[in-house]
Amino acid sequence: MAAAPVAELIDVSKGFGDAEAVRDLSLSVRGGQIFGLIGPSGCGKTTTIHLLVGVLAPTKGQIRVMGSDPRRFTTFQRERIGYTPQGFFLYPTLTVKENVRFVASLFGVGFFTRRRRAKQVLTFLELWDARNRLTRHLSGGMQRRLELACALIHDPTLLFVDEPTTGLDPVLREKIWEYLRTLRSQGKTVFVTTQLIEEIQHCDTVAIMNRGRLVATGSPDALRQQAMGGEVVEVEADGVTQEDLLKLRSLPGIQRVQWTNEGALRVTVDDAASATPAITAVLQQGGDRVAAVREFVPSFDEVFKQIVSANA
Amino acid sequence: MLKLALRIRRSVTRTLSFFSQWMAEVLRQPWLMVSLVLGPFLILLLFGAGETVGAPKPRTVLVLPQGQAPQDLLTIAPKELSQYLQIVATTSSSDQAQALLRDGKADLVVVVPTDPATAIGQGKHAQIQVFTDEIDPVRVSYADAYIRDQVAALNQQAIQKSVAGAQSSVGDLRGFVQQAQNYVQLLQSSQGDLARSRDELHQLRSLLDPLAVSMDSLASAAQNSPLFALPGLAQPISQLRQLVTSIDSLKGTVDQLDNQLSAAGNGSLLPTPDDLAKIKANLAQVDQLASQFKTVPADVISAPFALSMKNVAPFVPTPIGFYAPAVLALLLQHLAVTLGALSMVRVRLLGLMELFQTSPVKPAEVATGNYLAYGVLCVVAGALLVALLVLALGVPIFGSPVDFAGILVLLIFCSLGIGFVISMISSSEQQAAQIAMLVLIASVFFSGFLVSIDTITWPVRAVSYALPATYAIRTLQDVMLRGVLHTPNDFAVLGGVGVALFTLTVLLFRREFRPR
Repeated sequence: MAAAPVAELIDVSKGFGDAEAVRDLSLSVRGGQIFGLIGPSGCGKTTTIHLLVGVLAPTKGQIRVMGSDPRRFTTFQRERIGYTPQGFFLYPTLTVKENVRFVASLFGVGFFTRRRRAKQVLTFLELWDARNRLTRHLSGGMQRRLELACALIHDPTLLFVDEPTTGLDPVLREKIWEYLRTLRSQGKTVFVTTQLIEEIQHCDTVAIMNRGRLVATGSPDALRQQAMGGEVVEVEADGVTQEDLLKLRSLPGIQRVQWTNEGALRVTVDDAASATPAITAVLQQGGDRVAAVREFVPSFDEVFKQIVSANA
Repeated sequence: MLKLALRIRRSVTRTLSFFSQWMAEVLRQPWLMVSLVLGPFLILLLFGAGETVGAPKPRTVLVLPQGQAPQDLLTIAPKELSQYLQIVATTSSSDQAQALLRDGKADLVVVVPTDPATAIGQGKHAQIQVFTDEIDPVRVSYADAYIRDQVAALNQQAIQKSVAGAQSSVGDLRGFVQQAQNYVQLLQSSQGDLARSRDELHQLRSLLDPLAVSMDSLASAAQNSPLFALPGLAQPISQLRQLVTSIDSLKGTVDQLDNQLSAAGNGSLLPTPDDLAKIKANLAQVDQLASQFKTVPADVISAPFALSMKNVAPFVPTPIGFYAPAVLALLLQHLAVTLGALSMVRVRLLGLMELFQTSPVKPAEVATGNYLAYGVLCVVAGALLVALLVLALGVPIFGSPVDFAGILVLLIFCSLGIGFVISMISSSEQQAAQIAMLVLIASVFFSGFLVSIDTITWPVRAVSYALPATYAIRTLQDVMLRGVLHTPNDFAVLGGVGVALFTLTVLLFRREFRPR
């Protein structure tokens, strides 16, 4: 029997006046994974995270986080949840260490534990050397790491992180994902939002949102398959005739055959490994010169575009 | 049990988190503390150094009839006059004086009547005209009161002159009486000489008529004067009336004797020793009464009441000392209201409210933590300010230090409540600062700082009683300057209002924390 989800939204909608930010959203987050909520700016990601941490109440539907309605979290449940909002929210006139300790005490962490945890977390996020610097003097990347440190200071099991990589350079973005992966390896569940489609690859499970609706959900590979309709084999060959194409389409497990703008053939198949030899054989039998046959891995931007346009 | 202890420990930790955070911020900004304490102190010091407290002196132009000096007309000496008015010019031209008033070179023009004696003689008031171009109602009231006082002094001077005249007449009367007594002596020694007796009697009678007329008019003048109706003047008036009656009686006796002599035609009806003794007795009575009437000086009769004020307050402070408790109360209230008002707006603007909402911290813990953090800061600022007031400016604290500290703590408690409520209903720092400033302005006008709250009518006075500074100012003035506590209920009022505001703050925090 599968474990109960750590967080779950069932048919949830949230409106602000006439505008509906989230519509009929259903999601299920399993424990111990990185769950990515991805979508363009304004698609309802932050509203969803606010619903999950209890800042907002749904207009419709049901939300369960760690088995409870977020609006009725107990003190104990709140102590197990970490949250990093989208914008910078700490005191600019306090030092890194003071901000971390302040948040720790908000979560009821005792004096000595707080000191020990602050050192651990700041070391983990490579901020220990900057512990006495005023927060307002930190770079953007350091500020994001400090926010993450504040969300981790009380050692939560479930972490909600809203767009942690927005505005950061690729090196820093990679660093943030590295931290999140480490947290996952420690058994924590990380619910993260991002508008950078390429970051799908860092997640175990991804939910794609567009205009307040969920348009796809699954692992990154499953989403890729969903977007392309299966796996894609790309063939570079000369002398391909219409008859060759008909033969290819009649092969078992072949979904679609089409030309690219660069003059290559893209064959969508159920399973690339088993279909590749058959495709090569058909073309060679037709007398074509096959220069290259390889599995085509579409970018997540392309996957996203496909999925969004399919659901438009 | 252990679980409960753990929960309490965590709650205390969460509550104190705001205190630690705020202290760290304040300690990082030493100039904040310096400006919080030294700023108000320097304002108070400058206020004291300015020493402008007291009656205003309007710049005055006197318009006098040609050739008259001000001291001829006004009863006070020029030195005393300069205490109340600043005489900037004396002229005989009303137009010139009016021009000075229009040009803003004078605040008052006082036109003294040209011929007051004629006006009074015709039964009219001698008008003293006063012109002012003043827009400050306090200065207008002051000028009006001062001029009225001067006119009253002039009137008193006129009455004094009349009374002095009457007393002088009474002095003449004693001469007449002396003369009359001589005639009676001659009458007594006329020894049956009818012609001589009648002659002496006529001489006596001729003295009495003008005397009676003079005393009569004086008595009726006195009777009609409102001044003489005052209870303190009953004795001289009754003496004057008795004098008139005695003269009338004397006249009657003399007339009766004269008639007897005329009718008799012989010496058988010459005045008997009894008749003469009666006349002598009447004359003695007139003399005695006249003497008594003169005993009360004219200036006492014209101004029977003199002001003798004695302040029984244990200590009369300097203006700076008097205003120090009020300034202290106002500054502490403003500091607490402003800090409170900006606190949660800042939290909201920084985005920390989301963190609070998602953390285990409870609305009551946020409220208590912030009260504690800002409260301690205000108490420290207040203590330093009080130390400066006492040590540097010599402002005393005669009363109980416990009462003094108690009222300051309650004032801060209440003011922080007002600040937090402002903070929770304001959407921006500007709005919060504006409302805090409005509270300060209202306090300056309604708390008894500028004007006594007794002069504010209901229902406007309700504003006064809604301000913590009102209670703090009057209690601090009593405790610091009198050494007593006249209104112990103020503690209960401030405490009650403070608790109500704390509860309201918690409720507003709870509303803010509620998922929307």
